Amino acid sequence: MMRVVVIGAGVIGLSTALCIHERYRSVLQSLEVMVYADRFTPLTTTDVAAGLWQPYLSEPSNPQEANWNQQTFNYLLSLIGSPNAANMGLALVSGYNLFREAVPDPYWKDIVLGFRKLTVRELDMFPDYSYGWFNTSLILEGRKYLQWLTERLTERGVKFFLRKVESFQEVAREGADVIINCTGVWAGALQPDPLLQPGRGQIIKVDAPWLKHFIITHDPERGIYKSPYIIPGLQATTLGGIFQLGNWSETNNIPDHNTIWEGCCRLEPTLKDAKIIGEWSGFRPVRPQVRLEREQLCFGSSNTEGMFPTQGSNQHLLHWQADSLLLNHLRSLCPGWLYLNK
Amino acid sequence: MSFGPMDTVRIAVVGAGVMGLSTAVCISNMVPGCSITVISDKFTPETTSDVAAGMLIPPTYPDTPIQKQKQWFKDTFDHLFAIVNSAEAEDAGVIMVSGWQIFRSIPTEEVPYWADVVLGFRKMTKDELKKFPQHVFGHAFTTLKCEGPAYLPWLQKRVKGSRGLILTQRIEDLWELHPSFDIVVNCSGLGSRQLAGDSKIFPVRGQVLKVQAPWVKHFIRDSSGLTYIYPGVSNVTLGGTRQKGDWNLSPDAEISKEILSRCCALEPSLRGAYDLREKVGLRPSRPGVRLEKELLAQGSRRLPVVHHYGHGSGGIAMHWGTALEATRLVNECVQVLRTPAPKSKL
Repeated sequence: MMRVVVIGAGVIGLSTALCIHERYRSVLQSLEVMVYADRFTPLTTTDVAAGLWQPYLSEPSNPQEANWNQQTFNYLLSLIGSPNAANMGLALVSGYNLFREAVPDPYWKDIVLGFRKLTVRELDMFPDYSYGWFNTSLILEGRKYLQWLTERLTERGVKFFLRKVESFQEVAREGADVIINCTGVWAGALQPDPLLQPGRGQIIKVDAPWLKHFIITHDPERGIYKSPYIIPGLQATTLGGIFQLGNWSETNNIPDHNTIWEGCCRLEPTLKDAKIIGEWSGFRPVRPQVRLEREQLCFGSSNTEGMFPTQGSNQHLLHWQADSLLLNHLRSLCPGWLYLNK
Repeated sequence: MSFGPMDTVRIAVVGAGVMGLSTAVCISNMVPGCSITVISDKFTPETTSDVAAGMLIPPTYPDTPIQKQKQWFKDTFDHLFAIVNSAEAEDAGVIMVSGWQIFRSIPTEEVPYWADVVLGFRKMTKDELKKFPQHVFGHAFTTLKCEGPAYLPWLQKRVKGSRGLILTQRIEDLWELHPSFDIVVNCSGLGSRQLAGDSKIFPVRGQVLKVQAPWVKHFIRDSSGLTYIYPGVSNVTLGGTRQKGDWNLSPDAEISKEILSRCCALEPSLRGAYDLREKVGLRPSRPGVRLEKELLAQGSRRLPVVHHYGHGSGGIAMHWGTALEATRLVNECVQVLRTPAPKSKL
């Protein structure tokens, strides 16, 4: 019997659990997958994210991450034509990236749909900006997706446990053969990781159903996500523009509220009529590279495999393909698995 | 009848759909020395303009030169574009929406006359077309949607703001307006069959579903114009039908099922749409828009009329451009009234 314990119930944890169960349940007679977390939806970081698929503008230091981004986009795009897309929190959305000066095209321009530069008339709509892009991308709304993943996992008999894991050892002692650490920004509590930092964000969700496009502004002097952005979701619209590295405060603060509100209203004056639904803070789990690796842990006489996918702000983008790599690692654990063609 | 240059010219606008109200606003903006009264038996939300989705994707009128249609569309687009970029956009019910017009076979005209009026017009890429396996070609662009239930009240406020009057009354004959009014602007749509004796105007019945599906952010229009998905401020319009000569304003349940089925084929997530409401509108169709002056005469009575109706499926898309032209015609009538009659030489 193989027991796989996934620690963390955000998008990475739950999609990893589903991926493993989907691919190995039929092969392994007794595979038990369990999810341990001290936070479940709607209290995870995933729930706060707007959920727009858009990587950073510059190429990742690990080229593998670009592949993961692409494979995640393609996977989600293949689900767009399904009647269940909206139930999963998935929808196509088009919109604008705005700059104060010309910039090179992003490496993901051929991954998204219909990428093009903005025309003069389009730029006239945004007097503070002089250059930009238009493209069609995807929204994967965190809360809806986590609910959907939870339903799929529950159907498959995967069990969820509300608990705060203090160490890998405690989980190994209970009989886990494989532990997958998907604890995101809090991974350092289980194993120190000086490269991992919180990228604190604060967002305001409003009711503005007349807005059908995302608008993301860029200010290279201030840095990524420190410039206003407006991202319509399946029901509500997310307003943001805060990125504070190293800030662990989970409470909303007024100066950040004002920064977001003023920046977004300047960008889109009709927001003055929008009703505020709520305001949240979350921690992007920022790291120079996604941590996806395998480690053999020895606790006394037992051996346990640990796996650590933890990544930066764009965890939505990477999760699906990261899981396939995990599975490749899992395959090597048991010689009996070598005959699998995945 | 003689008018001094300072006398107020009394103008009656018959009809309170998008044509009547926008013409009233244009006249009050552009023709000095007039009083305006809008007279109609129906007002928003009970006009044809309230049923229309209001997408700015214009039709082609066979009897009108293309350059003129393009000018009408451009004037309308520019007018609404200024509104959508202002803080008034939500009050006026004008939004920007992107999407696709898709074709089952390559069209002879790959680029329509209005391509450079809308924003970012281009052909769809192969990857974009994968979403529509039954279609082989398409246009991608960003355009505007102008919604009657918000836009008409917004126009009404403007009419009243310029001290125009709004009267609920059913007019059976244009002569009822004489001598209380000096000029009549006829924006009565299908009512012109009776009011103007126009046999060229006929209904093209359109049935639509207005549904809740807030995750749909793009419009999708089949090039035939028969099947479309138009996301709006607070609902998505699914359509439609084109039933010539059909005056029936009651929704047909079989047709509703069929519309939903055609739209779900293009956008499967619509199976999850909820709160479906059926609506019917009769497009006031004509080979060309009637935009002309007519001097009615009965004995010694004279009544100048400016006709402004017959836009068929292109009402919202063309309204401001044709209202501007109607206003120019009204101005001509006003000039004639203000020009002193030559004294007879005896």
